[in-house]
Amino acid sequence: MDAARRGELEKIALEVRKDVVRMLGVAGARGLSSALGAVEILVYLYWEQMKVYPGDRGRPDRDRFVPGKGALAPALYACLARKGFFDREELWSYSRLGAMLQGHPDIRTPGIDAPGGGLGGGIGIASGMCEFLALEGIGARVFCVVDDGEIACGSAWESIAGAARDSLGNLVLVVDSSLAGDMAAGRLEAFGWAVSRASGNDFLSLERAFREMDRSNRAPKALIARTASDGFPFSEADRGELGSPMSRDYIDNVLSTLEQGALDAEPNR
Amino acid sequence: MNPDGKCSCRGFSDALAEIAEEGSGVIFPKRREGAAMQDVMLRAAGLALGGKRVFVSSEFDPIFIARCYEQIRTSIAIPNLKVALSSIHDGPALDREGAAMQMNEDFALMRLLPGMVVLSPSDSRSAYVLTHSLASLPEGPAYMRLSNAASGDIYGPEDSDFGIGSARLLSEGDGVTICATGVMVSEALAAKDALLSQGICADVIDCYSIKPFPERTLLASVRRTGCCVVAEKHAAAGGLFSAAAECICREYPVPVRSVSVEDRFGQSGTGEELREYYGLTHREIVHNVLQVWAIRRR
Repeated sequence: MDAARRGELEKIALEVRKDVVRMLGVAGARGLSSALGAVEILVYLYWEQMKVYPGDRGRPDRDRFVPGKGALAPALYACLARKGFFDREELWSYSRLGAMLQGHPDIRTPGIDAPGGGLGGGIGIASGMCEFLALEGIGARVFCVVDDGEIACGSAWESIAGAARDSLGNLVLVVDSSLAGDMAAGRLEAFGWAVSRASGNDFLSLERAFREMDRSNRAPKALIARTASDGFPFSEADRGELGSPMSRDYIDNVLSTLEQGALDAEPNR
Repeated sequence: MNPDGKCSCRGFSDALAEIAEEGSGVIFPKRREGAAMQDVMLRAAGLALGGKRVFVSSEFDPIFIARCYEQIRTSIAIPNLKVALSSIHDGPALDREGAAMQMNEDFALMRLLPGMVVLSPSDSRSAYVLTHSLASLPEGPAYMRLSNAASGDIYGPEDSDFGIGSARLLSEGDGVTICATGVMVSEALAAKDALLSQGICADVIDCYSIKPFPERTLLASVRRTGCCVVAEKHAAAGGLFSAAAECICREYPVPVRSVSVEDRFGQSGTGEELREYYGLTHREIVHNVLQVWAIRRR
């Protein structure tokens, strides 16, 4: 990845972040930190890895995305809107009554291939999709993002064992990990997965990890992506507010901080 | 009624074999070692997202719908995926296992999920035909309760008038409506014979579709008879009795009684012993009919 491409991705990520802040602000919804932590992962998958076709979204050979981590929904919607799956105006009615964009991903939304929300359930659904693709003889990949809390769920380990047993090599699991010690990596390796690691908020690191993935390997792939604990350039003192609905002032403050952070980073490129 | 009949799970597996042969957009998740049913449920969702009908059956574990309720609800029912679940509900092995394996809440759990079809065939032939109907159901999830206990054939080998959302009137009378499902249908027919000697002529309905509930068949019957007894191998709450009572009290109130396992868990025993223990006998149906007939709506 050259510097220019990296700059483009960072610009996209900044716009996605701002949209997420606005969406949650307008909706009076919680969950800013967990949505923001996964922004770079989603931008990298949608702009660099996945073959998706907004103009022909049911195309059989498209790559699939399974939103195991339901809390990333706002960031996912912001990405899908920017990709052209639906009008960006939809973002502002996120989680309202009658809105297309539900709090947790719903398959009736254009661009959403699988339901989200069942803790740890994304891995099994993604495995089923891999099986379906194999039955149909389609070579597409299935991507699933979970966080390290979900991966502690019992059903996740039934699915992790099953995916390795069935050699689902087209399954790519990204673990959005904010915990200090990553027990998941060792366990996934022990179950027979091909595990790599990356810094989840850094496009170069994500690029390196994906380049090293051996697509001919029949083991399912896992990428442990360490993300900033709230994915957010804010002081510890501000963090207390992240779990509750945000005030208008706070939203404005966040948006201008994001802008300022981007400006400060500019000369370094 | 042919006393040498096959169990409903036989009709189901015969139909599945034919459906698999046709290969018409139907998938069966691979047989696997172990009991990773939560993963099987999620796999079924993933397979069904491709647009195919997926059949998941459990021969040994009637409890899986309880263990996997969250996966069924979140990943199958809410996205309205074409997944057909079935479990062997009773049979000699499960009777011996006791309370933990005697699942008398399945109708209730599955009825509660919006869009979920709930079926309970009474014999091999109806299970066979209903399984084929499930394979061509255009959308949405379904659950079918099967029995491994040898029971009499209710229907002939060519009978095919079974539809999702309908019921069959097996005998027509004007004294009382007996609405039964699954293994209780043959008990209801035996009760009808016993009642004849007491001068009460019973309507016997085989209600194999618990949801959608065949309201018109039941209402047409209770309008003639003015009273109703519901018989099911299920808790009194949430199953066929609830479905029938909800319909009757809303549309045409008449006295209703329930022959069910009531509010208690099972225990180990033979099928015969358990029927007595639960009170799931034709004698119990007759007893309830006499009570309800005395106060019928005229």
